[in-house]
Amino acid sequence: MMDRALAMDNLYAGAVDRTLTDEQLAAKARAGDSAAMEELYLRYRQPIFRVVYRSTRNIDEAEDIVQDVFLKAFERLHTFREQSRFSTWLMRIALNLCTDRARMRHRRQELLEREADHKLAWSHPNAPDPIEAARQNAFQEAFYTALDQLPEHHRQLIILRDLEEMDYEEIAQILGVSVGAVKLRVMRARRAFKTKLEPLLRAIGELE
Amino acid sequence: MRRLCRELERSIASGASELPSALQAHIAQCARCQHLWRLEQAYRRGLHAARSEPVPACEVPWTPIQARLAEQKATKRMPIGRPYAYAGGFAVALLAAYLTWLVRAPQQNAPALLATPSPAIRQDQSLKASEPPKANFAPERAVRPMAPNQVASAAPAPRPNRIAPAATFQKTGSRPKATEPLAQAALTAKARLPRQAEAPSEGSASIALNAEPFAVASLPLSQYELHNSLQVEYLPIHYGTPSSDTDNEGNPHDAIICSF
Ligand SMILES: [Zn+2]
Repeated sequence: MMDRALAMDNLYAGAVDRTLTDEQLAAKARAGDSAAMEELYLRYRQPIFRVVYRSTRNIDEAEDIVQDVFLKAFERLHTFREQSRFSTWLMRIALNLCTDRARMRHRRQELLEREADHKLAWSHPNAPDPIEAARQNAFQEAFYTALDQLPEHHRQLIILRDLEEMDYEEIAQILGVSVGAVKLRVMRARRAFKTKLEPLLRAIGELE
Repeated sequence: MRRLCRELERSIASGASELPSALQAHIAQCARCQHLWRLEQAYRRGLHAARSEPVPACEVPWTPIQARLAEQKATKRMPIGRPYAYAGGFAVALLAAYLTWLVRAPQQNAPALLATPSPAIRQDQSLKASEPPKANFAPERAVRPMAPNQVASAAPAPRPNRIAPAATFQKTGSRPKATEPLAQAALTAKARLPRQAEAPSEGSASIALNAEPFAVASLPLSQYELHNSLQVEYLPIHYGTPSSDTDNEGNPHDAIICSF
């Protein structure tokens, strides 16, 4: 069914000139051109999904966010002033939605943990701690555990700079800050990440 | 912190993949730098593994997004005339509620007005002279309900809601014709009010009373237009006698006369 949907996507995408730039397509989309919207969607669906998936590590949630990103983008296309690239603007929307989702997830997690703590207090007083859980997992699990433990603003910088390998200028545009500020923030994010990673690596014997 | 320790930190921050031999030699001797460098290597290994991990393809097709966009657009798009229609409907509803209140207000307010003084116009002290027998006062508390069509009629008509002493009750006056102008209707209203035998001058704020001690009339105040017809707002008027002094819950101004 998904294959058919993708095939239909490709069929519809033929309705617009693919040589048009993002900004030209955005202008058409702003005027209500559905084919232009579709072309923009097909261009940026996967790049946005990559970043969002790295943040959520959950396909369903990442796909939900991707839909929301484009809905929001096309809804607010009139606010896109072309002071930055369309892709940059789109990525900013994606990161904001990721932050919102992360907050919700964090709250839900807290509630679940509180509930679990309550139950464990009665049934399993010696429940395994996170370090013990990490020991049972592989090195990569420790890495993602540390990444998950980071505050969203740090996690996004690790993803953009160190996983997606975006250059500092691009990140600066997405975040709307100076390049110097991005460099400083990336340094802090890495330090924070390593602080989280260190005990996990010790726990699995990867560090002495 | 030694110079080489600081240099290693700078190398790590810059993402250097290989260290100069001087730093390599330092790491072998400095436990802190050794730990930092191992942690950095673990971090890089983790990044490398994460980067090479395949990211699944996003399989969300365009069509559901297009459908949701259309849905949002439809819910947001409201015909230009619709807000005006809502506003018009609201205004009509308000007017209807006001008219209903107008119809009912004189009926409901009449007893209250009998009991409390109206701040507007007070009866002249000379009215005390024509105090009716107390026996006639009590039944006058009951206000004859007005028919809604009396209020709703387009003509500025005074509606003498006269409460006569039970024994002497009779309907006085009749409503003016619908075409009667406001001023004329007001005069008619005055003319139809029962008058006292020795009526005071018109210039005073009082209207002379005849032998009947109490009467209530709704007098036309202002005209307004509704549904292309002329409507009139009424002011309930009470007039009475000095009996109010003693038998009106301590209110000396129960009998109120309006001059217009
Ligand atoms: Zn050192």
